[in-house]
Amino acid sequence: MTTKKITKKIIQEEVKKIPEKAKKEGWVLTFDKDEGIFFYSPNVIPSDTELHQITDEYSIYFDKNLNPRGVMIECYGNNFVKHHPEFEKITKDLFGERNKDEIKVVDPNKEKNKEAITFKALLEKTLITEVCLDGYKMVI
Amino acid sequence: MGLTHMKCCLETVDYENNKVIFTEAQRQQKVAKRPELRDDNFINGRLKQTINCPNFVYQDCDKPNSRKAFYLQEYVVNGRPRYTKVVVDFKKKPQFVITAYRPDYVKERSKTNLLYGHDN
Repeated sequence: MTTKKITKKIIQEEVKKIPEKAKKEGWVLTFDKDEGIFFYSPNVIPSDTELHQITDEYSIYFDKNLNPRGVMIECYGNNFVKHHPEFEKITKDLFGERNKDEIKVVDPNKEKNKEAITFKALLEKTLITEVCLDGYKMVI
Repeated sequence: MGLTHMKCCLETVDYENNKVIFTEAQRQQKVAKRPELRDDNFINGRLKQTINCPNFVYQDCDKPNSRKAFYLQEYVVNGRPRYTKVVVDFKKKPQFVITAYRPDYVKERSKTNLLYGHDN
């Protein structure tokens, strides 16, 4: 369990650190097509972390010092992509159709693939924009 | 290989007395992104209890016609509940745990049908 009191300002600051942290720790893009859940996280999300819902769209695994250790988007295709249509084509291009119940991992740090880099940038921008919206009501 | 012949980390029954299993292979498939599943005490404790006696059960958001999301409220801190959530495929025989984790939010609320219990 986190030892810090969670406030809107702390969450906003921590979400803004995700791009730097992701680059440093080599976070990967993982689409679990079977569950319809998307992760942006290290290959293995560390133990001793706890999941906190940030907005209606996504949750973050935080460690006890409230460092973000992974992002999770539930109902990715049925909800998130519907609300963010800019992800529809790039998700298909990068992860393929959802006709197989597979877990597909794309490493944007290794792939020279332009789509992986674009996807990562778009996702990071979306995470930060949503949590910093003036009208954003913290779910936590 | 049929589900009944696979090595299981949990075999139990749900609130309607249906057999539910969690295979070791399925656990290993999910464990990288689900730190909760590395803990045997969680699997044999909260996860099992959630299948046996959930507070409420929703249709799954992603596959509402074949999966259910079982919830058991663990505790409330500063007005915020913490749940154990277990996703079960009920079309397979025996029923089959897909994954489990500990969210602080009910994603299915207002999105799918409540199948059992009360979600206050």
